[in-house]
Amino acid sequence: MKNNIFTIMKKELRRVFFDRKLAVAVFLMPGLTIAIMYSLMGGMIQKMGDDASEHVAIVRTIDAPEQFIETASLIFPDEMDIKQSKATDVEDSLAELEEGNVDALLIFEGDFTQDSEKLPVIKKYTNSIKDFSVSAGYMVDAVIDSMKTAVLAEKLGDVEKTRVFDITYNDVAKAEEKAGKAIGMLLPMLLTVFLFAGAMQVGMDTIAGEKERGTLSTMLLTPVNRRDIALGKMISLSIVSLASCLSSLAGVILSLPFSNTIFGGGFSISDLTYGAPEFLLLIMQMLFLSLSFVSIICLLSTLARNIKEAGGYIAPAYMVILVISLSTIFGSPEGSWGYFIPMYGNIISIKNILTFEYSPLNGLFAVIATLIFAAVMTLLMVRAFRSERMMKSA
Amino acid sequence: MVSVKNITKTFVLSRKQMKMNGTNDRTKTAVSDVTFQVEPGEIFGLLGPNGAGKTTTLRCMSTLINPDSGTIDVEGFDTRKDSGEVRKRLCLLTNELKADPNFSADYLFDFFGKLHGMGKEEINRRKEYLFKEFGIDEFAGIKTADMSSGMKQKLSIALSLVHDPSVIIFDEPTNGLDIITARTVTDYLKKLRDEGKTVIISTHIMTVAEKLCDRIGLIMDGRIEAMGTLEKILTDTGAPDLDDAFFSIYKKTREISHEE
Repeated sequence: MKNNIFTIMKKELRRVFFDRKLAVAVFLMPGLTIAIMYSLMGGMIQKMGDDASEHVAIVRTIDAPEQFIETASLIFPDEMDIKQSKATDVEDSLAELEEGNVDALLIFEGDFTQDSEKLPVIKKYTNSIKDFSVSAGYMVDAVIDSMKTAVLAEKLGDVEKTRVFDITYNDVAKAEEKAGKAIGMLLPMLLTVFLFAGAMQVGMDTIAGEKERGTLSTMLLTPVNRRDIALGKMISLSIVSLASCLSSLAGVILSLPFSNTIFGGGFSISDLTYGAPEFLLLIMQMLFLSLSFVSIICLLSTLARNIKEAGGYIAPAYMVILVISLSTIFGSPEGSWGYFIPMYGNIISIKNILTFEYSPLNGLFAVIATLIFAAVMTLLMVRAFRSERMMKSA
Repeated sequence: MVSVKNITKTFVLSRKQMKMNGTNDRTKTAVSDVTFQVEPGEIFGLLGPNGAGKTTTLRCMSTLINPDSGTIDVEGFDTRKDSGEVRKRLCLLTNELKADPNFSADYLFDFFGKLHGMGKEEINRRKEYLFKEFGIDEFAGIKTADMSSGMKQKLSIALSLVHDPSVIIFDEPTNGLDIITARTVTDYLKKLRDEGKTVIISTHIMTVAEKLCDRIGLIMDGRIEAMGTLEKILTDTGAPDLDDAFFSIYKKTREISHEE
């Protein structure tokens, strides 16, 4: 039995590894494409940030008190350009804001210098769909806040009286944990997608493709047990899928110096201090995740009569996996129950490994749940392999 | 020896197949109560029109599918109970079975040899013999995808014979072959018969059956309507050749089925 499985595995792996075009498509291209794509994306996001910080916010004010102008020039001497207008220009100023010629509009109503019965009002206008306007809005808030303190100090006659308490901001998180949190946000989802895509690429051809070409029947006519044929194909596909995913992972790692902004930024590559245990755990969880994906793809591929039909069956499964992996971005389950959900538990475990929050027990639950799931899928696939109806088209 | 006893096989039709067959029946009996026996050193031909049940009978014999009722015994092994043992002793070749286009003849031969549990030496010995027999040596190293259809057909035959089976089943052996390859195949089938192998072929080409088969079974609508040597069939029907004999039986069965 073992010999037969091994012989079939060798043939399947040879097909992928010895076919230069296929090997490049499965192992080299994902890593290379990701490295290039992420570097470009990271560069673009970085450029967007740089553009925003280099941009001088243009703020139109109407009837602004001298105090506002002074405070703004103190806080943002070079970053903010204030253009003053009169009350008659409101309509034109709003049009200017909508068109993006100014980033914020402030209309001051009432007397800001003397006490009066009616409180003065500041009407702030920004355009939330324009990035420069949004950031100008934050700058304006900071100026108004300082101006508020200055007005209060003037009323109370002593600036010290405006201080009610001091705040100090402290973060106990270590640099490696912050980096882990940033990278653990998106990377588990990406790895999941790479794993599934890698398995799907070859998986459809391994069974449905062989059925379509009429080469599977040739194998079914040998004395080899159909279970061994199914297992041989499945195990080899898991190896291909994992290798493809490792290539993608290498692509992500290579692009990190240029793409860390995609993962939330704010960390340096040197902050990522993953050691051998993290990598081993990561590969283990990926292996089980890959096993469950492969079992799904193989089963659906066995049920299909040709590659086109297999593609039709696998596409909805891909969408479900995509939703499951996306859901892990928004947090981890409370307690251990979530780890018993096949695949979801593995993705959460991968996230926990990356964020240094891995619990061996929960990781074990995830592995067991996925193993049971993959075993059930494999049993169904073996049954399908033995089914006359399913293999009629082979 | 191969013994087929009273086998019946019914398929459930898809809506598309029902439409194509112009029937409202959800099932189609492809083979009905078929019985025959083939001895070693004999070529037996199942002759019949398309859709008569030839391929279904051969697929049942080769364990790809199981009959609903009846039994098939191959060299003392039941196809349903000992399918592995049966597959060790027979080979099936049809136009639907193809050699994997991603590999060379050399690699595929070794691969199938291993799946048949053969040792390296045995595989090499067999490879040398079959590759020489079919002239595969010249293209043994190239990928199947790059081979001509004749080369592919020769390779498929060699691959099916890798384990030196004692029962050889060929479905339409000369279909789609050029005249030279077809001759190579029919000559080889005769050689196998002379070596004492049990050879069963299916065909709808009368001349192939006439020239090649020691005994013929005429199958129509899933039933064996006549069986025996060419001479016996001609005598029984009073026809001058197999072509006329076939149509005489065909007409008779149509009349009976209309009366029913």
